[in-house]
Parts: sequence; structure tokens; C-alpha cells
Amino acid sequence: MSFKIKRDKKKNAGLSVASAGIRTFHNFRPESLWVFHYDGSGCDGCNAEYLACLSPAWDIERLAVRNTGNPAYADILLVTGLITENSADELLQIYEQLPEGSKVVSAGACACTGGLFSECEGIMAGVDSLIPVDIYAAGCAARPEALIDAILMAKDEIVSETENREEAVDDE
Amino acid sequence: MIFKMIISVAAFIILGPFIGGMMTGICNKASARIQGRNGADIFQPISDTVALLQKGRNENSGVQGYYVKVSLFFNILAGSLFFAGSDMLITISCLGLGIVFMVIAAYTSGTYYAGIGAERLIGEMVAAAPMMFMVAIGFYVYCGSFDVRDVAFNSPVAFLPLIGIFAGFITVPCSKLRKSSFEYRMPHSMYQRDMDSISDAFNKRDAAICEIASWYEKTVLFAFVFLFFANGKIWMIPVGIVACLIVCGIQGILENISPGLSRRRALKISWVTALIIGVVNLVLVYIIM
Repeated sequence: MSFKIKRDKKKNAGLSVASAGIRTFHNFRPESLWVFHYDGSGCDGCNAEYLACLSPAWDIERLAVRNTGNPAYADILLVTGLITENSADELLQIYEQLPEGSKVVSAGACACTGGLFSECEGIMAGVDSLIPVDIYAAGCAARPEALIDAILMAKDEIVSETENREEAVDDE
Repeated sequence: MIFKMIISVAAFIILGPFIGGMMTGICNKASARIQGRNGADIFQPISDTVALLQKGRNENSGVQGYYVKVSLFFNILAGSLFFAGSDMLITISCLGLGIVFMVIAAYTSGTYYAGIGAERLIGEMVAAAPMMFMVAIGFYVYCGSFDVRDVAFNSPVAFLPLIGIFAGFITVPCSKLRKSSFEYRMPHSMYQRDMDSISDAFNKRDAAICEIASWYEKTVLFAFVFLFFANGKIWMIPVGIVACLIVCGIQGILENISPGLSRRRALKISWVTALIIGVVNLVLVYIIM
């Protein structure tokens, strides 16, 4: 009988160590932000400004941000440029592939409201008429500082949401 | 003896990915400093991969998930054989098999960019193969054995006699050292990571495994660099580690001076280098010995 009890205790101890390990792994939030950049049509100014963010002058990589070519890996969907009726399907398809808890950043006047072209035929009046947007970055074109700010705000939102979710799980 | 082998293999299996990830981070940092950027932290590749593993549910991976895991297995096997002191020719063959399975995984995913990445990976493998075997032959000619154990513990430092082969090794097969499985291409700048060649159609877990497999491979290649400085004495360990870090820096320089290098030219340069430097060095060592 005593042997059985000892064995159970050992088993429980092993399980608790394993669960503590798994919990530590899940609670460990590395500083890493994957951005998927989608550029619609338009003058390409915001696209050029985002490329400038990657250049030595702004060097967004130092803030643990990296580009990805696959929306399934992305934490942030960054949309720049005009969204036309033809490109709306593409954007929706990309949005559906984002993992849970990802944020959408709309950068530049065209992506935020449609800008100069908002009343033109075949133009969507902003990204938010198609998908929910979390952060707006103003500007025509949106400056690299504004883009970096928007990305970092999205990062803060992701961190706070994850913390809230974990607290809710702990309370339960 | 067996106890030591088990310890070193276990240390490789546990610490291998950390060393590989850190070396990737150091290469990226060196490259960023050369470009005038600050660059990411040296532990950023590890953070990225851990973050990738935590991102929600995974889609069905399909058959490529199987091939990616087999590739990881062969990379671990290669490193385990190396650190167990076994034959280095088997290590090189296992590394080759790991790459072959990664190529098959990329082809079976069926997307265009993954196909491009797979082709590039084959090109790299073909370019690097002669120099890899030249390294093994060089160690055999100088130390009289293909066994890593004999080369590491029972032979004098092989760096100076095999300096030509060492130079060839850090320029040709180590071109693999600076590649991430996220993008098998010559330039490593931030924007060009947009196109994730080989892991284009992998799910999150498979992409992370692919990256971890590349870190194991990188650790084994750095272990080969270390082997040039090993003579069984403890005071050569820091020298070997410093040499590995210098090789990291050299990778950063090579990466930044060869952004437009075509695959055909890379193949030509690497084969000619292997033939001239490798054979001349081997002949000289043979005559001197």
C-alpha cells in the first residue's frame, strides 16, 4: 500500500514538474514581432517609407521586428496604399490566414480613409470598410516614425491582451 | 569512455540549437554593423522561433511535415556521430541527407517560391560538397584517421598545415553558415526576408522545426571549424571558440560583398577553389609528412 502511495507521489511530482515547464514556456514571451506588409495600389509612397524603416537610418530590426512573407506567421498585418475592389479579395484572404490575436495596422491616408481617391469608382474608402483595423498611422505618405510608432503600439496591445487572457485563465 | 560519449552527445542535443541560434544572431549582428545598422539582438533568432511556436493552432502540415522532421533527425544524427567521435565521412553524408530531405519537403509543399528555395539549396549543396570531402581527406592525410576522436585528441593542431583547406572551408561550405532556413538566398537584408523561400508553405511548427534543423547543421559546421584548432589540450578550447566567432564575422563580410553572386558563378568559384587550394594543400602536406 505504502509502495503505491510513494509511486503516486512520484508520478504527481513528475507531472507537476512537466506542467510547470510547459507553463513557463507559454508564459515566456520573447521580444519578437513578425510583420506582413501588404501594399495596395496608389503612388507607392507609403511602401517606400516602409522600406526606409528597414534602412540603416531607422533600422526597425533593432526593435525585434522582422518581415515575413507568410501571413500565417504574422503578428501584424501592415496595409499601405489604396484598396481597390479587385484587390479586396486578396486582402480578405490574407486576413483570414492571420493567427489569432494578430493586429491590423493601416498606414497612410489612402489605407485609412481612401484619401484623395475615396469617392472614385472601384476604390474602397479605407481598409476598415473591409476588415477591422486596430491602429491607424496618419500621413501622406506616412512617415517612417509614424509607421514605427504604429507597429510598437500594436505590439503593446498584443502584450496587454495576452496578459489579460492569462489572468482570466488563472482566475478560472 | 562510453560515459563521456553519452555526455557529449546529450550536450550537443540540448545545447546545439542554442549555439546555432546564437551564431546566426552573431552573423546577423556582424552583417548589420557592416551595413551601418545596429541590428537585432544576438538571441533574436531564438526569440523569433520560440514566438513562432507559440502562435496559436497549426494547420494540417501534410507530407512535408514528415520530411522536415526526418531532416531534423538526420541533422541531429550527424551532430551526434560527430560528438561521439565517430567517422567524419558519415557525419558529412548525414548532413547531406538532411539537406536532401529538406529539399524534398520544399518540393512536396508544391509552391513556386519553395521550389526556388529548394533549387538554391541543391545548388549550395553541390557547390559545398567537394570542399567538405576535401576537409575530411585533409584531416586523414595530416592526422591519419577519419575519426573525429583521433583528430581532436591524438593529433597536433591542424590549422597551420591545412590552412588552405581551412580558407576554402570557411568561404565555400560555410556559405551555408550564413543561411537561415527562412531564406536560402545570398543577401540577408531585412526586406529580402520577405520571400520565405523554403518554408513558404510550411505551417508554423514545421517552419520552426526547419529553423531548428538548420541550427543543428550550423553547430556541426562550427564544430568542424573548431576541429582545426583541437589537439586535446584545454588551452586550445578558447582559441577554437574565438576562431568560430571570427569565422562568424568573416561570414558577415562575405555576405555583404557577394549580394549579386549568381548560382552558376558561385558553383564555378567554389569548385575551382576546392580544386586549387585543396589539392595544392593536400600535396604539400603529403610531401612534408
